[in-house]
Amino acid sequence: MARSTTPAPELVLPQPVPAHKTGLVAWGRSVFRGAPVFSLCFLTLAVACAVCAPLLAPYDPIQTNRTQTLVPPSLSAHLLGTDHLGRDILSRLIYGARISVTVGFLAVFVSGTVGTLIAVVSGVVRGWADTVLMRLTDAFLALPFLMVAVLVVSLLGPSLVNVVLVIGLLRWMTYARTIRSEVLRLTEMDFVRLARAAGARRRRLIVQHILPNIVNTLLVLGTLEVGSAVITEASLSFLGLGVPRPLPSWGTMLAEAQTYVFTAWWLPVFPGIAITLLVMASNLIGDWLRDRLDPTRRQL
Amino acid sequence: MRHQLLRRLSILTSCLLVGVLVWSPASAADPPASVNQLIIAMDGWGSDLIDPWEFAQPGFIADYLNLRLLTRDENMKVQPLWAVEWSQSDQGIDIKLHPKATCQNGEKADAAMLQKSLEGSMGLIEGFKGALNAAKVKAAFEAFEVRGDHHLFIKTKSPDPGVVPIIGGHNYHLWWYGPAQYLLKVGHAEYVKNPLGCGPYKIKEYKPGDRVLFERWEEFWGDYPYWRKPQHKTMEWLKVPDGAARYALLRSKQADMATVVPFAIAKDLPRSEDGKRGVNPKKGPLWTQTLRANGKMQVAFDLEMALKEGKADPAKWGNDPTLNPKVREALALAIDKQAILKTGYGFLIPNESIYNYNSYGWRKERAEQPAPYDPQRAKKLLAEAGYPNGFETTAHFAEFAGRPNQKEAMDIIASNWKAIGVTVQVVEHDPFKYYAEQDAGKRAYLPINEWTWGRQENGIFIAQIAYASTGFRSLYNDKTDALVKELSQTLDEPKQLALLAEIEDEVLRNHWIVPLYDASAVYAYTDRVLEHPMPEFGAHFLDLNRIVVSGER
Amino acid sequence: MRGYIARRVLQGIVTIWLVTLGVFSVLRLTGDPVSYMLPPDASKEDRARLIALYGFNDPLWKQYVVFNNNLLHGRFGPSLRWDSRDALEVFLSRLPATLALTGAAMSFSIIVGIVLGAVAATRPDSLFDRVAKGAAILGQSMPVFWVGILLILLFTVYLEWLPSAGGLDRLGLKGLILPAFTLGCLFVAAHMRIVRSSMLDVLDADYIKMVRAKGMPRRTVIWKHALKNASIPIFTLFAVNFAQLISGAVVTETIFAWPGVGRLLVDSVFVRDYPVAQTVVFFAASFIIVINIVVDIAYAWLDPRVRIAG
Repeated sequence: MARSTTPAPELVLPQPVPAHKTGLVAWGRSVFRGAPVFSLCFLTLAVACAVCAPLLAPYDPIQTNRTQTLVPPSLSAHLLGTDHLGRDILSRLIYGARISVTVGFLAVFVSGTVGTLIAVVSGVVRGWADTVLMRLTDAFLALPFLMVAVLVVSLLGPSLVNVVLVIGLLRWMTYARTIRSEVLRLTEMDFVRLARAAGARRRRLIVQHILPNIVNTLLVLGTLEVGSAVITEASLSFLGLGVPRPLPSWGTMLAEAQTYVFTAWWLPVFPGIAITLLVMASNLIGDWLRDRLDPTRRQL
Repeated sequence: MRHQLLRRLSILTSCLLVGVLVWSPASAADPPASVNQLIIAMDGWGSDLIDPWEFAQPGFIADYLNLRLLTRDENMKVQPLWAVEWSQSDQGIDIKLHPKATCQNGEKADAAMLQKSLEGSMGLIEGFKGALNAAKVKAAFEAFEVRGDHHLFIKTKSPDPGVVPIIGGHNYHLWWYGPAQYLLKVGHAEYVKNPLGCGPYKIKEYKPGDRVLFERWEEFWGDYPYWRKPQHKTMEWLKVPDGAARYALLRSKQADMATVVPFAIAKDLPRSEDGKRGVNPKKGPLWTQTLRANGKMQVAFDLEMALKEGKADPAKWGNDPTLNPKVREALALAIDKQAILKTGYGFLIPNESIYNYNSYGWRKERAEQPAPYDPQRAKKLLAEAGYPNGFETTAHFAEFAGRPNQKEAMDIIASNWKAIGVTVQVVEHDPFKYYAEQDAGKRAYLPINEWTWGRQENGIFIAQIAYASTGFRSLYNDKTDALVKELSQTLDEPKQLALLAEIEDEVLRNHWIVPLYDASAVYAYTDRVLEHPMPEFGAHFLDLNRIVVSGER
Repeated sequence: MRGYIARRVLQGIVTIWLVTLGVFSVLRLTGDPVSYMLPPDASKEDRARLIALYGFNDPLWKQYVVFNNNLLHGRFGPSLRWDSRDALEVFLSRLPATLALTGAAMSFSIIVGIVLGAVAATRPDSLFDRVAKGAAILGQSMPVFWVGILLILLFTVYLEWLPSAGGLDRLGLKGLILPAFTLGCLFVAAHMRIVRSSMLDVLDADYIKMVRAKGMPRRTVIWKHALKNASIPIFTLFAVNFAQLISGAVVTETIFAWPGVGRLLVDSVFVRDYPVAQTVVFFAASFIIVINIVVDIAYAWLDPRVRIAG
């Protein structure tokens, strides 16, 4: 692990060049150099589905139709077929994107905030606070996710908010650890030491010097974690602890489709593909961001 | 001379030929008297507790290890098992036991052992927790009288017909009987490590929650057609909770039988009911048999009873729409039961009775009436009741294992009620805590509740349990109160049936319960299984000892 | 250094205790096991009788004192669900199955990761590299239970090559293949990345060029140094992702009816079998914490600044 004493490289975006000089395309090309195009497109698609679901979905996702159950995918009526209650799968996937994207981003927000808070306090204040917080992190890391999930769902009941809470509570440790070591590294650097020596107050220190420099790491971690959040939601639904009915989350669609794997392959296949693509997108984009924002950093 | 010889020879030859033709298919079809193995993939066998004096939950293992007094054959007739004769009078219950009955350690299964066993199950023996419903049985029994080696008389305090369904073992998994002397000698902890029974199987290996390996007891005393030494030497149960995975085991021949195959898979397999029920139709590598009406589903409006019992806060719930009988009638009329039935691919049975299909107290004419469905009239009723624009409410349910299609039913009901203006938020609960929480009033009160019932053969049991305010309710006003009390004092069968009918009429007239359907369970077999005689309507015992296979595994 | 180790171990013990306290509270706050042990139509008398017999109506602090006392004496209590069998016994009887599964999964994942990573490193940014990376990430992105069911569909039902349920006792090694593959897929990506980057580092380094100039065979040097380079991150990865391994094992064991401790945990938590759930969590948590302590001590040994900070 190379530890340098030079200031952390900051994200250098090329200055917006007047269009008549090089053109939007050239700008776009340099910002998105090496970007995983398909992943970005898919993520955009997912977000678009989430936001514009009522406009995009051909049918009502929770309306049952007893004459149209288990219809195979066809170009005429139901593009991806219908499920065992006659609900259109494509519409459910589109509305499900709403849930998955919401859960993904919200959970990342919750865990990222908690983790960063703990990491910054731990890294700046040090001493007892650091020890206590790190042991708390260990304790949470050691708790099987099932326990936390069962706890929240039993006490508070199943709901979208509670699922976000569960996932948020399960994933903050990654942020805490990684960002703490970032913070530790930063506080040893000359520019921070100088600021401290010059009498800067802690809060100013944090806001002005530390936070801006951990944004990159946070961004990379957050993007990668969206994928984890989506998979965790699917696992929770599989175990019966996920988003309550009749909300069409991709995870519940998979869980309900388990029995139809032999007779109606389109029930489990499409939600599974959707989840896989979203998680892949988040992983690939996260990797790209990591490479882009700090090519000297060792990959781990 | 030659002519005659030739003629005789040809006659002989043709006789031989005919003989061979007639004989060989028969002898080829005769299944072997004993085979090595039978493997069954089960969704679960209920409780892992095998000590008959410590039963906290019903389970299948005890059915094969231990004794029951009575059982039912495939025609649903009550038949003797350990008890060869029994009767109940105002004075008490008279039981005569099979003279040859013994246990796997040589202990004699006689009247003294029955008495000891009953005491153990009632929780009267130190070191054992007792069985379910011990309190009720203790309250009913007064004294024991051993009137002969195999003859026991139990003096009862009052002629309650609800006791024999509990101790008899022919209605539901409730009480079993094991080697009393052995239990007393080794105690609970040791018994669990080295279980012994008096039934057709011994336990060879047991990994709780995973796998049970039974071994045939060669000296088993039973010789009934429905309960005797099995054809297979060992029977193995694998616990595979996932339906699709269970079916996969069957398809790949890792198991001979799979219980509770999901409807979506079962609908495409050859059904034995198309030919002779329970017999391999020989139409392919797999076949199925349906255990009909294994579970029951109904919508219940509990609020009235809850208010009566002081469990719901009148300030908050006193004006709830579901307290109005017109509203309940409207909600009942709005449910499209045909749509719900269709989600079951023909495995759900319409049943307009509060009693299980074909059980004691069930009336065919009433139950098989077409379900009323009239959303227009429902809207009208709502307007008459003062809710022309509908209202909002919540419905609660919990998906119990082996009770299929509840989620689908609730979805359809929500959409039906939405169509008449009633917006219902459907809340799903953890099945294990569902009734306990309700009982303890932990939850803000439920106006609408979906009940599920495992199969009960006896309406008396249903009526008494539902009345006693356990998890089940809605059989309760002053009139039903009086009817159930009367029912608990009468041994006269026609009178019992009349009372059960009156109770049902009162409940349904008030629309406290809306029966939805009875759900069946489908069992699937590989080609190796030749037949599995089992009752058409599930009595929970599965009759696995009666399975006949065609050859070694 | 010794001071650091002592401090760290002490903190570890405190953490383990915190975890057991957490588990104890969670289980008892979210429902009593008697509700799970009884069928819904059980009477009030039955319920009250069982509660009294098991002592669940004792005040919470009293139950906790009893629990702690038992824990100190190494007694984990009798299982509530499984007929009073000792919880520790139940746990130990199922541990080997999970060890076999996770061991096989990790081995598979590491070996495949090494092969893919090494080849990708020798051809960076080539088609192979990109396809391998893509496949590895695919493995990481698919939900475990989805992969499991699809594999069962293909290998057990259509091809009839491999069994899908049972465990080592019944099926032997053949039964291990599908579950280990399902679980291992999750980690191939990470392992491949580590091996690839450590390989690339080694291939780039100056001393390699020097050693090559001296005539040492390229392959030996690369492999030796690359693997050495990669071993610490792989171990760290294992430590950091152990919790993920356990949760993956839980799902895998459920699909393949594997009789391990993951499934044991699910079953016992859902029925509130306190002693068994507590036992599993205790051992799983202790193991994770021990690994973390070891990793921390290793880092402290390598970088003195960490000692002062932690």
